[in-house]
Amino acid sequence: MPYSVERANKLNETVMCPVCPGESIDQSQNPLALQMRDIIKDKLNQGWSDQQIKDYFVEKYGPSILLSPPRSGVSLVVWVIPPIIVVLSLLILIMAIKSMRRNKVRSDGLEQINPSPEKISEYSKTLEKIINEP
Amino acid sequence: MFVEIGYIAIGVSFALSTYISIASLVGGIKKIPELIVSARWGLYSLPFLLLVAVIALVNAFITNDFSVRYVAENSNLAMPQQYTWVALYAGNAGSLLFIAIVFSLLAVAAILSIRKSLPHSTPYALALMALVLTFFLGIICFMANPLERLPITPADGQGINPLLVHFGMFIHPPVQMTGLVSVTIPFSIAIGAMLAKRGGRDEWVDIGRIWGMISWLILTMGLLLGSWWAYTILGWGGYWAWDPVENSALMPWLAMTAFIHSIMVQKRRGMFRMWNMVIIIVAFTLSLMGMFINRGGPVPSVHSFAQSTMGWLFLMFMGVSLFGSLIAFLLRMDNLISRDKLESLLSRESMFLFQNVLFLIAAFITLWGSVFPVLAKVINGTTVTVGEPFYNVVVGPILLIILVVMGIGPFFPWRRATKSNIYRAIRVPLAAGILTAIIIIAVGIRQPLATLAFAVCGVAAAGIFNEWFRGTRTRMRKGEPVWIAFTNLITRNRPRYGGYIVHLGILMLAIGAIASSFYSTQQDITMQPGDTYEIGGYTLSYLDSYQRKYSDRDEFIGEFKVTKGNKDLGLMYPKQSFYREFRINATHAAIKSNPIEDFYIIPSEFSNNGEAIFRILLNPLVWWMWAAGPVMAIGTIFALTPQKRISVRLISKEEENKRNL
Repeated sequence: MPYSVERANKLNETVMCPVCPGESIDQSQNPLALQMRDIIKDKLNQGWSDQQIKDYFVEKYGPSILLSPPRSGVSLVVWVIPPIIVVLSLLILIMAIKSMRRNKVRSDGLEQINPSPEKISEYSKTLEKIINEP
Repeated sequence: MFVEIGYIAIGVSFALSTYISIASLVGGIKKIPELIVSARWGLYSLPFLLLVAVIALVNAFITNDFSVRYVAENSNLAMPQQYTWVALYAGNAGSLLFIAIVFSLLAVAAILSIRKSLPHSTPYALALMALVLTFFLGIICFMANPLERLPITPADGQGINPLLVHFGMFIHPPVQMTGLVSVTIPFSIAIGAMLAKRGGRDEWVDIGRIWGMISWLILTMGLLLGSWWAYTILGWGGYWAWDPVENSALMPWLAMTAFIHSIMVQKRRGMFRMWNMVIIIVAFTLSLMGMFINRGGPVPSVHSFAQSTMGWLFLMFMGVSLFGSLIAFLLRMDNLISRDKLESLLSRESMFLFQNVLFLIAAFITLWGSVFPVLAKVINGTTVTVGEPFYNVVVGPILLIILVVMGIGPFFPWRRATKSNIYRAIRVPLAAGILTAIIIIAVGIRQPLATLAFAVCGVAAAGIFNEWFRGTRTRMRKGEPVWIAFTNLITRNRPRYGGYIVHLGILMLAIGAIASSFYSTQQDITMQPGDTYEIGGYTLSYLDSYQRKYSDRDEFIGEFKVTKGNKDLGLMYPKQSFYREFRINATHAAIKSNPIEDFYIIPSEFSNNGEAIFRILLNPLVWWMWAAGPVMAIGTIFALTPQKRISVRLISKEEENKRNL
């Protein structure tokens, strides 16, 4: 793969700036970040692969230099858990739905109310008013 | 002198707050009205006590009293006076005092709003709020007192962190902190009702929903203001970086979004009583987590301004309150049995449930990504970073599904939908979605993910407009003119139509986010003064560069003339400031923004001869994200405005109480 700006930008977005917490070297305008962007450009021009460049930075600064944790070793865990969260949550959803469907329901006692006929006619008048309201 | 008075005021308010929580709880359990009244009046006096402390601190800032440690650490003689407000919460101790006074005010408002309508649960709610306040005041008192004196008075202070000297600093942090702590209010109201064994009567739901939405709105505004600030000042052309502290504010927002939806099911149908309790417990825990990560969490972040070891206290408090609320929940579960059962999977209720689960999934995955680096370090000793690429892959698709649910969920009727109901509600949005996709492909944009995302937005937007159109048309058949019909339509069911307005705001946000993350153009160029460069239809001429020296910083400024076609867009001044004492380089981007596209210049590096490297960004549709803020605020407030209710009482209040309805 030959050097291209897009490729360099893509790589820049995956490398942390070591001195500006929370920013990638793509985002940061810190001198060190600029220097690292230049390094990436040079290495790409020399024909290095993306992985080689990442490994180069990991060797120099440790694995935390990469924004995206590698899908191997300890960091694999970080990728494995989210699908588990999804599956567990869906299970909880299914259980919630099942229990809500055959729920024992607690009556609020409305059926035991015996309102007086006046009350009932007041109620139906109000209802009618609401329905016929413009 | 002032300082000592303020110091005493903090001590007294801590003692008072402790008393309130105990008195209110005991008063509630043993039914001693005098105790409850005294606790309530104690709460009303807290804001005044804390105001004394705040005034003392402000006075110390204004008089440059550097014998006070916090003043010496967060200001200096050169600091402009208006930044006293910022300095007030720039550091740890001050921000805690700020949180305490804001929260005490919120608590007073909350108690005033529930004390008449929820007489049974108010003592418990009050006790919970006071407990949270006691926690904050305890930390202020014993660990981070902003009014603590230094043994030796320095001649000048250290000054304020230059990155904080910006207009955004006046609003984003206070709104964000207020948002996080405000989650405590709906939490206390809900758990208070549960503790008082009134969880099965949905009397707390209306007011709990109102406070939940207020809290949601403040959190939303905090997040948007933070993104807007990052976009305009931090100078990397983005607005969201999945930074741990950003995440810590996002998680409670996600949980609160779930809550303000599911609470509607309880309001309308008397269902989801247990579910809502669990959700609000989760939201509250996540908001404490947010404050923990912000106040000295162990995760590196761009927000590392105010860190300390007290983070661990937050973590402990979080653990205790989570454990406590869950125990209380288990003990009171019998009170929380629903009035009705779920009739069908095709119903509004199920849609709400599904939406809730999606939001919780998003929140928990974000939580996982934020804490994993800490876990890895503790367990394995390795340091890893979990950054944007991870969240884009993992949370991105869930947000997209949420958009789909937002688009079609509201059209499912309560209880049970028939196939024809659904077909009629869905055909227009679905057609609009397909049409959007076709248009996007026809325009020549061939990015499957972006096309899908925009089609989903099309579905949601068409759904809302279709609903408005159909409702208005129905009313017009009764002879109402179009505007009256529309006004009547939306004012008759404010929670629903206010919600639609908020959904439109969310769509604006989504469109801006999708467009700018898929179609942003970026170019780094090296220019000499006098050079001209063309990009995306814009012509920019680098006219000149100059340096300015200030007492605290050196500024390198580039001057650009920008035209698009024949239209002169005026001059732009991207600049870099180097703060000598702090050794911090701050980048100030220059932006020309319009609804279609933002033209954005970031200075990367200036050399002495005027040659400089600039980054040019063309960010489409970002304007809509900031415009979404007011739309969402209007929608939320509209949904909250009280509506005249017509009710007929079929039995007397006394009988209702007797029957324990």
